[in-house]
Amino acid sequence: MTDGLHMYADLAKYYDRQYSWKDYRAEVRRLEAIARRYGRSGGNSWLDVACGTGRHLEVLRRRHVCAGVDASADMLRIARRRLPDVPITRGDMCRFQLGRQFDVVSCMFSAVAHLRTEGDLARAFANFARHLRPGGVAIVEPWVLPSRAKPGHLSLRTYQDPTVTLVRLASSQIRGRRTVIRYHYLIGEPGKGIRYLEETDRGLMVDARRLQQLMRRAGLRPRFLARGFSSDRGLLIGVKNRGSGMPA
Amino acid sequence: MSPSRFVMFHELAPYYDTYLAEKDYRGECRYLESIARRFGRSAGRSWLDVGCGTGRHLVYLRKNHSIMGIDPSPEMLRIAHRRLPGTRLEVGDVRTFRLRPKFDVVSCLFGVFGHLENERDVRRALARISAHLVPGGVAIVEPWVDPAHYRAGMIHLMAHDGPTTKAIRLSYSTRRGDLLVVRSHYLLAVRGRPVHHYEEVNTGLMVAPRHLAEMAESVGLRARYLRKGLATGRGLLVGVKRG
Repeated sequence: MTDGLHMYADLAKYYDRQYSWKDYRAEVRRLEAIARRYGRSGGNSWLDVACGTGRHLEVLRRRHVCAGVDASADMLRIARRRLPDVPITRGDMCRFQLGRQFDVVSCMFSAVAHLRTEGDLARAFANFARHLRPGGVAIVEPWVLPSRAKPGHLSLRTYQDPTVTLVRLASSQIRGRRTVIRYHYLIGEPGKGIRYLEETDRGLMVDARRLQQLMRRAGLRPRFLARGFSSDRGLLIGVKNRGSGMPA
Repeated sequence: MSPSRFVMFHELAPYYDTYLAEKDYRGECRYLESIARRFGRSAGRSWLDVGCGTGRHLVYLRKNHSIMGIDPSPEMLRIAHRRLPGTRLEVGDVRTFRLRPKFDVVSCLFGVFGHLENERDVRRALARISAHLVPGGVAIVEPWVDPAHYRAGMIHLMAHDGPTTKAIRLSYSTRRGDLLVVRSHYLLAVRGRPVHHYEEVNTGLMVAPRHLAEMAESVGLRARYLRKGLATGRGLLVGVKRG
């Protein structure tokens, strides 16, 4: 999931370094292939919901007319600096209203895991559908599938450059249908010192069948790809009927 | 929670070897034995390691020597006992220890001198080491940081990433006069247990190798400093007992 670094306002600046291992370019190549394969709307506009610091948009905008939405003001500030000519709006994924429709709406890196309930997930999908043109495609990277969750899993990531050393230790538990991940961060800056931060992230696990039901209920024809960008997730696709072009 | 001292040697003692999984004790011991052969003028083969910790140097030294170890931490010694059954291991502090036997080699390695906070303690430690050597025996001491090499505000990371255990230490060093102050944060994760976070602060006196050699001379050792040392790059002080 997009994890919690951005919960700490002053730490959004480390987000990209924390995820320096992530291959955004390869992910975008795959997203574009999916959009080409399933899309029937004909245009090349793309909305990235929960765009974070804009790393996917940075690649997407080469071939698409892009826009972004994110809930965090700190992440938005970084995205706007990175992409001054891309309109990026602050908003909650269940409620944002841009007043226009796109050929593709994506929501990556399991940002939907932060939603509290299935009702919120349904509201988010409905909102994605409202922002799609007829024949347009929603691509959602869901949270960990219940069948692939690994309770007790530990993961360690470290990042070092001359200005900062980042350590993130995550320990995962499962409580009912939620993952409870405890993150421990150490942030060391030469000449300044070390800070320790802790955070608990709860994520709602929904299985592939239920995800597709929720997509269908939002008015999108669902499809689930078992192979996504992480081995424990997958990708959820929803295509809007060409005859159902309700205005946003 | 305010940082305490010696977290690594008490709360984290069972994981000390995990943190130092990469350290080449075997190679270090080969070098230490070559130094003992080169400088030693005594006939025996006894070796005392002061601040022996979990006994990882002693494991290699025992092949060619009759060994003994002391350490101030009972938790560390408990692990050393398991590793070296039948070996004489005792609780003791480098500044004050008193043992009946004298040794052909007394070593005091790695961080031990980094826990001494003033010149009096450094001198006491060297005097205790010297007092436990037979004439012609060799002291091998890994000095603490040379003040001339100190770089301010450094961050140092040690990380062990095992499948069921993750052990991280992130340290930040500053100086207060001639004292090197190292603040460390530890994270320890063992599968199936809650993650622990500890803070530790350690202060140790930085002594220039030349000055350390002078102090060693003043307690009855013919001293010299070897630039080539162990993994820390701090060189080694070698002192041969006069008499």
